[in-house]
Amino acid sequence: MATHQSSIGVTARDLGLASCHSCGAVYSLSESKCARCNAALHSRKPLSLQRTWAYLLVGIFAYIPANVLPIMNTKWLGGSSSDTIMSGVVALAESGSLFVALVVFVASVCIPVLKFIIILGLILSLQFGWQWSEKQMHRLHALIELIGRWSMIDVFVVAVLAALIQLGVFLSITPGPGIVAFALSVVFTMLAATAIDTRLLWDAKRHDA
Amino acid sequence: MSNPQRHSAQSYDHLVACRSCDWLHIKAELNPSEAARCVRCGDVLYTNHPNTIDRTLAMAITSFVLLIASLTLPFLTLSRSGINSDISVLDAAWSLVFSEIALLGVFVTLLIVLVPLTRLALMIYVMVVAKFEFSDSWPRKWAFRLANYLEPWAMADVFLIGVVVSLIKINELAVLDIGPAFWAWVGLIATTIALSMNLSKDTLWRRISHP
Repeated sequence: MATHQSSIGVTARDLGLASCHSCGAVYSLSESKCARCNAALHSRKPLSLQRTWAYLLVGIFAYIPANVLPIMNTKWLGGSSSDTIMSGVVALAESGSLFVALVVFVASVCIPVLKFIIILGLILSLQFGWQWSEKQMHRLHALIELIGRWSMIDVFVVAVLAALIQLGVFLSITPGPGIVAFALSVVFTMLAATAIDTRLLWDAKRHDA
Repeated sequence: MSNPQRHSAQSYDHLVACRSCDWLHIKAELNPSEAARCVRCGDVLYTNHPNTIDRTLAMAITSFVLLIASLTLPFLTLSRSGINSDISVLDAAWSLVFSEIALLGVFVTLLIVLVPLTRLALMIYVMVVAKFEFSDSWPRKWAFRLANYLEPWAMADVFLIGVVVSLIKINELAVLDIGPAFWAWVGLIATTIALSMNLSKDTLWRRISHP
């Protein structure tokens, strides 16, 4: 499928060029606006690290109430119960749906925590100039961009259950504040992943080479 | 003409820099369905999908129709103690917007209603402009940029998994039947994937930037 490209052996920036972040057209570094798509031109995304830090910290902070507060309240005749993310997973596993419990656990716990660790690792590496393989860092970044949105599964589960089960006196399910915190956490970690300019991962190594 | 071009930057059309690692390449003509990849990091530089405008337009229109159908037709039918209720995705989203936790309703409405609708409408607009070469359609660049930006935020596929998990969670509490909108939703996911697989963004940018 892939053809052989003729590479020039340098980056666009080495030659005083910049490619548009939005559409990819190549210009001289002195240009400020892309003629093809009207986006602002930058050699690297401006304030990439600061913006990533800000989004990531909001994402991590929001993940705490997401796990502590109930995501769902169930009321029935003569009783009520509240579920957190983890108690929801445990309840699913105990009811015999082990595979579904695993899906929810991966989406709500494994993926968010993995994203925090990878994004933190990438930005700390950039700030302190830690030497990793840039190809591996690049792959990790591609991985979190790919899987990040799947964390939203639990948000939709609570939304569907709350919308469906409104049978009044017999049984009702209402969403809890934890699910909003969780949705915010997912949104901000997705923003953090996009704020990282992967070109910086490749730049870092070349300075020492 | 009424189009005051202030300063138009000169682009180097024979060059392409990898958007992931900035490695510079000289553009080569691709055979149909080929993708050019970066020699350093391996990411896709640009693609050459055959009939990209026609096919993307067809998929965008199909997806749009399927989305309207899946939002409004009955998605699930709930039976419990003799009470049957049909529920559509739009009803469900609305009922959440007006619940105690309104923010959840807002999130859900954005991710599975507004963002997908907007993205598909923009795609249809851009493809029509590109196909018929309308020259005075000034928002076309802005529209295509926004449509591309919205791609990861349209979560029809994630929602479907959420629905399946919910069904398993409550199968002891109530009897649920799958309605026509559910199948339209499955079709929507397929046509949305087909849309992305037929879209050569670089080709589109070249088409809509030179009216």
